[in-house]
Amino acid sequence: MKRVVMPGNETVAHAAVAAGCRFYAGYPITPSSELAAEMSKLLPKVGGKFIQMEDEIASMAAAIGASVAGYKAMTATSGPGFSLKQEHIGLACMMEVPVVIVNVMRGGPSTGLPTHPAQGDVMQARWGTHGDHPIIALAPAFPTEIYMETIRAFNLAERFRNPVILLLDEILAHTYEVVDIPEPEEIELVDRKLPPSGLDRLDFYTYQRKEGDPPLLPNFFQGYNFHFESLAHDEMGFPTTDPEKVAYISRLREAKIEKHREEIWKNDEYMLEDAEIVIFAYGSVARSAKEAINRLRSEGIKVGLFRPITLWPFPDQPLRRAVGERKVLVAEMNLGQMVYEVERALRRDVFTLFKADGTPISPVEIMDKIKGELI
Amino acid sequence: MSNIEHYELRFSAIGGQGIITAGAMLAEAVVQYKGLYAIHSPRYTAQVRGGPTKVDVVVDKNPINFPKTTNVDYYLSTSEKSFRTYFQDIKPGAIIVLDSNLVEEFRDPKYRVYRIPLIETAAKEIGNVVTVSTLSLAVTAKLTGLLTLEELEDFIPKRVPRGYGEINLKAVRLGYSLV
Amino acid sequence: MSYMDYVRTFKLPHSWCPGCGIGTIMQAIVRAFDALGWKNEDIAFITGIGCSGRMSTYINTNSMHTTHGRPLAFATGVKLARPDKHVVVVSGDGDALAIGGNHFIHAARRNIDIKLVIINNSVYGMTGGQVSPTTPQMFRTQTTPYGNIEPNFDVVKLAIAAGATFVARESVTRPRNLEKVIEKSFLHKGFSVVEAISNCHINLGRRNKLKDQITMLRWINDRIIPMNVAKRKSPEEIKDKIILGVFHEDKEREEYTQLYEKLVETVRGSK
Repeated sequence: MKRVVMPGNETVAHAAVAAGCRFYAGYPITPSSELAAEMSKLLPKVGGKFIQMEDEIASMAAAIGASVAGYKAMTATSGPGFSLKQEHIGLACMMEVPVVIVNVMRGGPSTGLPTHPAQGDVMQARWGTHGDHPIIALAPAFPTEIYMETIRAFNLAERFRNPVILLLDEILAHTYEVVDIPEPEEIELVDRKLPPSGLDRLDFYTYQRKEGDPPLLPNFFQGYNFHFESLAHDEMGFPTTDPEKVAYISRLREAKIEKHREEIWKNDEYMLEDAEIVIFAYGSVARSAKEAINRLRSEGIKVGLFRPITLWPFPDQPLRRAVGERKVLVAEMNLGQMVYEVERALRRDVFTLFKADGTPISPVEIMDKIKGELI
Repeated sequence: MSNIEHYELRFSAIGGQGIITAGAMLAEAVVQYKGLYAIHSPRYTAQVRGGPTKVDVVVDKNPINFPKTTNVDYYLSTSEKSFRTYFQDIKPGAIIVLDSNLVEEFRDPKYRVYRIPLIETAAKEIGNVVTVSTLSLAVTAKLTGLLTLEELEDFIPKRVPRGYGEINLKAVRLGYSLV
Repeated sequence: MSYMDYVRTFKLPHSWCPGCGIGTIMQAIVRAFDALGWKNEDIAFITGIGCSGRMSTYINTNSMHTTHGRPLAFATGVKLARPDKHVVVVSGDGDALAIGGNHFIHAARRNIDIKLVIINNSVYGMTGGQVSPTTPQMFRTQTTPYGNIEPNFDVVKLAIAAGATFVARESVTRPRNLEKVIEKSFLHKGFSVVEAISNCHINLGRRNKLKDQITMLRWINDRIIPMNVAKRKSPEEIKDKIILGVFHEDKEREEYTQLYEKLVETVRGSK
């Protein structure tokens, strides 16, 4: 293990390289630009490819192109760029191509608050692209966790052949913090499964698979003349409008995430056991919540934290199990987004603390809310 | 200061003066030599040169939850405008270090105020204005007790650009003797 | 080997209208593959959206049907990942020059070794015949029912100005010349552009008194003029003509992925 002081943007870059990422395409945007800068420094040294594309849309496309050609690929952006990338995120879902998208959230909508934090893109991470599609989104909150979750993002993308979105915010991206970097041999890496090489031709239907599995697709130039298709396609990957086939492939696409959500879910439960009040918070807000919990407990108020690290698929069952009938406070840096999922999971109303003015939710604000309304 | 629980520092300046680097170096050094946790967050703006800027440093015995300052124990500034702009959340009893040439007279019995001609000292006495980062770091280390002279003497030559080791060591020693 | 080995015959019949020039262009492309002896599995064939976009379904290589206007951006990722392979993009006039205009000029600027064939039928065919950046002025389309007032792009000039290092124009009315020029562009190391003038008698022609393929192909044929012939004509005589030939070929400028590999060598060498 090596202890270093780095901002979150650089942490993601170093972790991506450790995860085997060898292709980065991006476009400058605050507050994620340092991530691209670090990749531009690191990748040539390891024989990887870095390119600054002409726009956000193109950088998403180039990353997908490189992934199809066999690379672990990544792009990073922030709100406006995340909006622009959505069509291609959908394409990667449709073609089932692994790719990692980092979104460093800033205040929105539109140009909004480029240098200030927010958590206003969490619903966009789920539903930003049109049509039904499976998605995984991770929201680490602590520096070493950012490193480890970046690696997990690549592993999940490769394993399930799906885009994985890593959500940071301006605070996590720009604050220099202590990161404990594990030794390479301590890191477990996952590579996409490929069909065997050297066959005359692929003797199976590539998009057909056991429900819950990712498809076994070849990379470009692996020796098969394989077709990646943005239109609804059949079990061989060719366009179709046959309702049965469309429904069949669409079901398989959803099932690969749905059937493995227990493995994808990752939560942090802090001081939950004897808590009378549960805070639901994620990303940097969860850190304020932890601080608030420590201070409230020193005053004898029993509060705990449920912190999802996997935001999508939403951990409804774990949340329901962990919370039970206790009072819940949802704190997020937006005007109320994940709260809809929390209320869906719990099937009841909860207390809320929302803030979307470009400043973080402080521990004191959480403490005041709890003292004022929950006890 | 070896039994530190939590300590907050702020350095404000005009962008380009080198004070942000002092904050960065302080955070790195306490992590390295004291086994403490530290964060530093430079104020992020489009203006890199010429405008008021600051860096906040939080030092803690434990991993840091809330990565922002709320009760600043130590504030160093080398610009009048920046000093005023970022005079927020300063704890009563805090140490305040001001560049005596660049910040106007500031008197308030709530604080322990030091006035040092930081930039002039770096430029004239040490011989290169860029050493103001190290000079400020050394002054801070001494006043707060966060780092010893020996620790800085070990840290600085490895941290500064090649060829600038000697002159920065001079800044370390001078800074430590100034206060 | 025959050129049909580059066609996914099991996907035929294709979805294009009878008489469409796109089939001629597709045949020219697969004939060029065959003439060059490229291995199917060494080719990445990438298309965008529109009638041209459907071609990737029928080409028996590594292939990808992407989004509207962006095939060059995907191709850039593929080519940078695998500079040792052939990357070919087919795009329409709307795809390459309107929604994808930014990617077009930047791929040209980088001089990345992608072979682009633009099928220019001067209209958005698949969506029902809307005005495109190359629709002739005063032509009627679904969205210019009173005539198109907008000037159009000169693809060749645009490509040269943006930095493409091989730029040519041909017409579906001269299939053998088209095949030859495509083959030549495929041999070029750098960003190459072949503008293939094509016909959409269904969605453009029928609104402009060119409603069957013969009438429309004749109309094209009357307007084209080979470059060597044009050179002997006065500016007045060729004012409304479409000049065909190779307009630009620069073998000196270094190709992007080669420059990148050199950069990597320098960075790694200096470690």
